[in-house]
Amino acid sequence: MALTHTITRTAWLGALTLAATMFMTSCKKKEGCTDPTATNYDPDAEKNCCCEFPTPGNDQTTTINGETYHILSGTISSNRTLDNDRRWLLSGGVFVANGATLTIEQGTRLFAADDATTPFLSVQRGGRLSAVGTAAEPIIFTTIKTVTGGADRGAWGGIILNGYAPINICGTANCTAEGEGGSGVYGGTDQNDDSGVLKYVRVEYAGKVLGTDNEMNGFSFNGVGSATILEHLQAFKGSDDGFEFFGGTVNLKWAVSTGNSDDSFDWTHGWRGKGQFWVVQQDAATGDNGMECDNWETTYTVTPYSEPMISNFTLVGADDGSANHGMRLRHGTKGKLWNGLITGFTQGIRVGSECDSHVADGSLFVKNSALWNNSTTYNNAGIIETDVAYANTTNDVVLNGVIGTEAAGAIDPSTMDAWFTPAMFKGAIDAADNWTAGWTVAL
Amino acid sequence: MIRTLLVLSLALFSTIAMAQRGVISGTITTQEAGATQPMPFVNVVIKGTTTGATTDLDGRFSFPVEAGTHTLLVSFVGYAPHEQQITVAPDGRTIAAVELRAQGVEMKEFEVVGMADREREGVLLMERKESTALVQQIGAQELKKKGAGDVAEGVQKMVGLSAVGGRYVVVRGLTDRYNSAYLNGMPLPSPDPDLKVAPLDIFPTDVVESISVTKAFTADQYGDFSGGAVDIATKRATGENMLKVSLGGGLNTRSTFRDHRSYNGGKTDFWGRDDGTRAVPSAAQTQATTLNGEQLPFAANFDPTSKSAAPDLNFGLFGGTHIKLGDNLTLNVLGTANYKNEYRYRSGRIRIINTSNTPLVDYNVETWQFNTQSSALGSASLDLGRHHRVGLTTLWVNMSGDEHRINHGDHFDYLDKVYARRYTYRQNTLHTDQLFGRHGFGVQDRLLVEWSTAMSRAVAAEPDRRQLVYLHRPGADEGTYRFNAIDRLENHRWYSGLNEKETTMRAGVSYRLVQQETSDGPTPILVVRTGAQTKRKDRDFGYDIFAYSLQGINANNPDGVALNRPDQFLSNEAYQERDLTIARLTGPEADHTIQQHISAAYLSGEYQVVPGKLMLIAGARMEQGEQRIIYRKQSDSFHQPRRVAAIASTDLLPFATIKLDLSTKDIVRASASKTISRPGFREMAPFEYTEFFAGTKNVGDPDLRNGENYNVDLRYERFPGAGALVAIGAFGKVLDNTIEKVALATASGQLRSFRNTGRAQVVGIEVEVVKNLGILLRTDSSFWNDVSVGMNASLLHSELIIQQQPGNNNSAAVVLTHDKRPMQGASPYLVNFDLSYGRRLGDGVKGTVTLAYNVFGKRISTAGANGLGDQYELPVNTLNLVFRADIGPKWQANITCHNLLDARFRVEQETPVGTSLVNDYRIGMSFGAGLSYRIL
Repeated sequence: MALTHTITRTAWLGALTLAATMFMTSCKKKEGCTDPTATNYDPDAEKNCCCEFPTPGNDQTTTINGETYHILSGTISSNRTLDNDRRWLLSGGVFVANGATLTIEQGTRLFAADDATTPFLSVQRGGRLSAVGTAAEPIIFTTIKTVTGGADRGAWGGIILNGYAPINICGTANCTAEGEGGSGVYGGTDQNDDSGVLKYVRVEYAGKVLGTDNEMNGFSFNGVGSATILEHLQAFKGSDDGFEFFGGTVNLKWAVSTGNSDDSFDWTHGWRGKGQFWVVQQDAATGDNGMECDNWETTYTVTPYSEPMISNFTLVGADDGSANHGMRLRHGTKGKLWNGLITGFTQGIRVGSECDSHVADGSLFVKNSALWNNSTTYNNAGIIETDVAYANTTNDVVLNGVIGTEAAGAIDPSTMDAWFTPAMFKGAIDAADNWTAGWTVAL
Repeated sequence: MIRTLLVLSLALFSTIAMAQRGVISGTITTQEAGATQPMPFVNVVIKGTTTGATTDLDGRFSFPVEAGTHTLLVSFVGYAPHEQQITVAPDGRTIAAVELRAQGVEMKEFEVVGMADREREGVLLMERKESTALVQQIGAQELKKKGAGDVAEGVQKMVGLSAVGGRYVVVRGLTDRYNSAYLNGMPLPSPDPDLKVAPLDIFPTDVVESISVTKAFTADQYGDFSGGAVDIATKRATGENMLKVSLGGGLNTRSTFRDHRSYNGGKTDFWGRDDGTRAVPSAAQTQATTLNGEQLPFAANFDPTSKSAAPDLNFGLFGGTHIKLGDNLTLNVLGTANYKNEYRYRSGRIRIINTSNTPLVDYNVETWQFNTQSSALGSASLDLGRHHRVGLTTLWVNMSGDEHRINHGDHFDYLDKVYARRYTYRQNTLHTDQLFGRHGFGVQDRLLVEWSTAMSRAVAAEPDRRQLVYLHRPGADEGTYRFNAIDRLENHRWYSGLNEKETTMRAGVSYRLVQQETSDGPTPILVVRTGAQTKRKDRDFGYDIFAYSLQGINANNPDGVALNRPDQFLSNEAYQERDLTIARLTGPEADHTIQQHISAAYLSGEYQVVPGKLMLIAGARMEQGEQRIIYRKQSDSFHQPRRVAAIASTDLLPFATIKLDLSTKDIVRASASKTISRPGFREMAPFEYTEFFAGTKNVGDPDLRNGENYNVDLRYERFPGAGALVAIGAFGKVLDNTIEKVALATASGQLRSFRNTGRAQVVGIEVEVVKNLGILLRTDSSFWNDVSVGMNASLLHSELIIQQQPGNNNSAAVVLTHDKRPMQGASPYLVNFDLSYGRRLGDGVKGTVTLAYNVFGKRISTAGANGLGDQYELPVNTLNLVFRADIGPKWQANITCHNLLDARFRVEQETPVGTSLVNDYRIGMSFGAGLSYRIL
């Protein structure tokens, strides 16, 4: 017993000495930069030295494959023009502040940096983007990987316009909401709000993944008002939706959504604008719905309802192995659609049962459209399927890719609303007038 | 009936035939201030055995012995030991009355041995009676008796306390923000980035001496609390020579010997330590976005594995001794090390419901977990004579959880069925070193100086969480799946780590400014306390995420991929062919640093207005706090500097308590105080983060300020003797500028933020009863004398008033459904009940059986937003049965039966058109058996 005691006690003394030593040695000070605003800030440092700071403003440049790129980052708070002589590199979110206008010259190329940031261009409420290209000299937003190699979907966050037009998800009239990826606040009460003008603009490889159910689109129109002009826009190979409307009243004419992984066009939260000449071309590798149309998934009946008017659309699906729809009308949306071509989907038109009453009372319809070569043509489409006066057909229409129309059974949308361009055919691109030529890219 | 049951169960432990027995009972007294006074906590034993008892508050004791002649040995610190011959007749009762005499100063050797054993209920009750604060304690003895395996289970046995998810303590309906945690009186860091109070289940009861919860503020505590301050006292070195080993095992009715799914992990997972298997491969670390090396940098480890779940296992070692270094110098040391593990299976469902009561997400969920917990505690104290003691405590706790989870069902965004498999490995480690001292000066330590310093490191790691999501097309052949290639983040690997370092210091003095000389020496009239404290916390958090793009693999496998053998598809070949591409999506927001520095000084006094009858304790604390977070937003560029959000404040926090001794047994306490609530670190940082993957997004608010809390308490306690207590209390709180989690309108998913929303009020009543049934029933039957019953219950009403905040230029609108509701986590009632029967069965064999029941009233788990009602966690009835037996001086055995009702855990969502269960599962019953053997 005495021996055991001696051994135990010796062991204890040893352990104690060890513990005491550990306690003492954990107090050593590490040298490094302790200023958190420095680029080489070291959170573990306790003794300050050798801090380095970034160059202020937007004066930084970088060289990639021998070319000089001008870096854009942070907030643009006064009027600024990006000229087409220089190549621009977006690093992180670039914001156009309230009161400022960012003008982009025709033919300008902007590249999203491959630097682990989430690049995007976001116009804050009250700010404006004036990006007017031409068919010959479109303005192109793409990833720098088109230069360095390996360009793929999801490289950056696309273009986001935030406006003061109404949205419906607060249950109150003056509703404001937070956009995806910290891209800004949007919503308000001004239906005629002006976020600028975009013409002949192509967005490539957008759709940056931020989290589950949280990806940025090619074009995000967040509470954008009707004074904003959107014409001739292409969303090419994005990882999420091509064009998404979160409420608002903005109109969109001549739009091409090519090879986007999720929905090609998507509206929700009370969008009440107009659309004409919309093209969807899906990629067999990936793609979801041609159009995904919601009021709000949480409460179907919030007002103002999503209730757009759309004419002349061509939705060409491709089987990527998962089930997807030409048009998915659900979660309380209303809407009036004419002159569509829908082909190549698992289901042509699917209506959620929560929209049954809208279909029945005629506040949600698709008319004068052709659906063919879909595994299932209609799912719960009610009188959209059955009412002969709706004049929807299931005969084959011959298309060359996405080009082609059918005149038989079409209706002239300009008789519905003066905003529409007269077009007495189903589909978006008439072979005689291929408005996509020159400034868009195909799969 | 109960009696029969209890006797039968105890028979399990005893094979020893009952001998002819009798009872010794009596009182122990001493002469004090010219009067005979009862002596509590005196050890009375039969010499040469461990048969015996400790006296109660009235100096009484009673225990059964075999008939015959025995030598009774009575001993107490500072008193001369007393021996007395006693004869006990069969079935007879022998009364002994002993008067002990003070021994003077010859007590050095006894000082340590006789240190109050704070593991025992009786001692803690005595402390509570004498305490000037509103404190409640639970000792190791009671924890073991009631079968609490960790501190989180332990605190749930206390009045007004519950633990959400078995981890996060709620005190009087107030959640994490309003509580604080201490270890031996020193602030305890939390290894969870979203929590202020450490998850209490990381502390096994093996390292605990006692847990105290203070519900009323005193100036020597940090001011950011209103609910309760939990102080875990670790086992202390008492100088006793001891070496004990223990071994145990267990079963769970839903897990053990059943199919256990896992995956190929590391070689040391058994010990709860990753061996480096899960580290980010260096080839993946060096690249920016798309990985483009020649070889797939990650191991092929997505394939599930399956085996039979082994029984639970635990073992431990406990030792202590003292070393006399000199005449006036004794070193007491103690060490304990413990390990336990368990395999657990759970199945249930998880749903997300909209306002039409239609599921948006509806998954069956199955999880298989392997959990381990290891701890080591070392404690040493050095007695430099009678008046000086310094000590060192070092505690290391490591906890791991390894989970294989399957979510299978419908998501509103997909027509296809979703099948998601995720492997999550979490490892939390806490290491703290504490150094403390106590120094008395003057007659009977008129001036007492106490100081301590601690350094803690907390690490929380979640290395190589991996997930693959599959889609099954309706109508396709059974079992045909493809990878989900639409949402690219669904297929991923995730690595995160948090490192926290906290340094704390404190020093305090107390001085008997005014004292009255009596024949016993000085009696305090006015005691003044003052001191200073400081703590500094530095925390770094970071993550790394890699997303798998699997479109090419889907394209190459039109007939689908094998659900249970994904590795053959995620091959090096596929990677080289670029059918599999991997993107590193770690952005500027992926790391942040937090710094907090709090310093405080306090002054308080205890004044005996009427000595022994009425005491007034009052004081104030000046606390200066600064906290800042250094971060980047997800939308920031590395070309921009980091951002800093900071809050600094100075607060004066007063408190006052009145203690009124109505008699030696009846005490009334009243207390009032002001405290604060500091915003959580991430709550004030305006960057978006996801609380857990696929959870809601959170974004902080840099305009947050401290909330102010006003607290009042009133409590009446009666100590009728013999370890009994009856207490009734009431409390009220007004919380101003409460910081609440709110919902913001957002483009997609769910976004939560934090606001100073308004005002909350909490009122409640608490009742506690601890009683030996023999006394209650006024019977002399030895059976009922061995039965004790404990009950505590609380009723609570809380109301939070939220000022709805419309959006403004900088912020989205708050879209909470209700502008008035109960506080989150607040149960309207909590009830604990336990019944215990203990008796000696023959020589040196003592058995106890305890039945413990617990229930909480339904409480809000998530506040409703976007027109949806609140989510409620429904009541859970927990029933545990614990048998313990001491067999001779060396052996101890126990059998624990947990969750005998196999309770259902349910979460209910309220909607405008009815309610739906959104979470529903059972965890099974658990049975454990353990043995410990004392070698020395």
